[in-house]
Amino acid sequence: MAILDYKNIGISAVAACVPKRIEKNEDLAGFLNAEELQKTIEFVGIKEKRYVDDGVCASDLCFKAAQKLFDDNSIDRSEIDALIFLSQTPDYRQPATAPNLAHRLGLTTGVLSFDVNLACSGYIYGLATAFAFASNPGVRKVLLLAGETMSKTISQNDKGMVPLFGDAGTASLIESGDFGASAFSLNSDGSKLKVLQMTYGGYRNPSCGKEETLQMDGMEVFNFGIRAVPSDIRKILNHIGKTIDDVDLLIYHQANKFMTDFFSKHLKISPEKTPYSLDRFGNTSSASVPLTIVSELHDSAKYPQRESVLFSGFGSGLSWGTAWLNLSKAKVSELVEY
Amino acid sequence: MDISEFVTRFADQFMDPNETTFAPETKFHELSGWTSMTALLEIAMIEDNFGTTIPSDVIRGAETIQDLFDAVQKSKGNA
Repeated sequence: MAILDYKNIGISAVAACVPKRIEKNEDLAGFLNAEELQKTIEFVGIKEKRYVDDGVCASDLCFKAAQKLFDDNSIDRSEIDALIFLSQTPDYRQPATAPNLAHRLGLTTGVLSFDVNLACSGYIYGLATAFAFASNPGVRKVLLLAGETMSKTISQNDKGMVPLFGDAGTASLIESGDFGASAFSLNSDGSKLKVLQMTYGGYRNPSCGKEETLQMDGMEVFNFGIRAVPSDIRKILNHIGKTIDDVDLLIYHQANKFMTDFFSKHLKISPEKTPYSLDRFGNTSSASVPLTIVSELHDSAKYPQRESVLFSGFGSGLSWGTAWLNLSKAKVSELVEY
Repeated sequence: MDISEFVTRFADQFMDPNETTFAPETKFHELSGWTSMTALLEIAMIEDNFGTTIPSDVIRGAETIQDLFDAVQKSKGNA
């Protein structure tokens, strides 16, 4: 059971970037019949999502988000000692995208940088890793870039997947300061590999020109989620000696609204404490939690209580995690477009 | 809840409940309107009405609506 505790490490700034191109789910009429379309939109809670144009990568969206974060907070780039690029849609199969992204952002060659390949749980894992680095006095600031171009991973003929996924890039700055305590629970179950998998295009099954798209068993994903997510949230609450009523906000990975509302019902948390960006951006995998922070919390009058915040990520691997932290000191930039 | 009410609520989860006549012996996996989304809506309907969350393999293992109703009753210890 992996539970990590940190003291006085936190998120000091967050920014996000989405493509300009809007794909509305109501435009899928013809692809789905009218009844299917209406029920699907209501079920998943996604009205539209953003798609990148050809040639634009997750790293480009993250780059623009990072520039916005640097500009808004007057960050001295020489103080960034670590960069983590969290994505399943990197620029190349080899090498990792992070070193080149660090170079493009004007960071020094003294920066440690690497990629993490995780999906919808990724932001929680990435944050836990960033917090670990930031706990070391040899690292001043950590830049966590979580981004995905999910539109390029799915078949545009897959009726189950097209309404769900969108593209986004985000940047979070992690450093030491007067943040108080935080805790992370991280978990995985590889026996359920096939529940959400792109089977071809790696080295087990090299590219064969077909099925090189993400496949999902939606019922099994739900089955996994309802068993794993509320119990992991209860586990971390128990660990920190708090109840769900003590929580100011619970920011879910934006999977689909039916599923996360179901979790909320089980956890008995009020809908006013669970911000959603899903309706406008869809499921953006590891980017969805920081994107929700930016789209919903940029206005400081909205959700003013941010001291006791939970993040919940869950998805392929299978992999899931919960973070509890203080978000009240995070400067949230306005959302930018690419 | 008796089986006839269960059948009615089961049918309500379909996109077009009028596409077929629903009955206890209906083999629901064979219906054109049956999708993984319908399955999840049935899980939520069962939880709302019976207070129990059934695993997806219970739905996969049930052939007819009656089978599902029986499995739900069993999971509640009422069989």
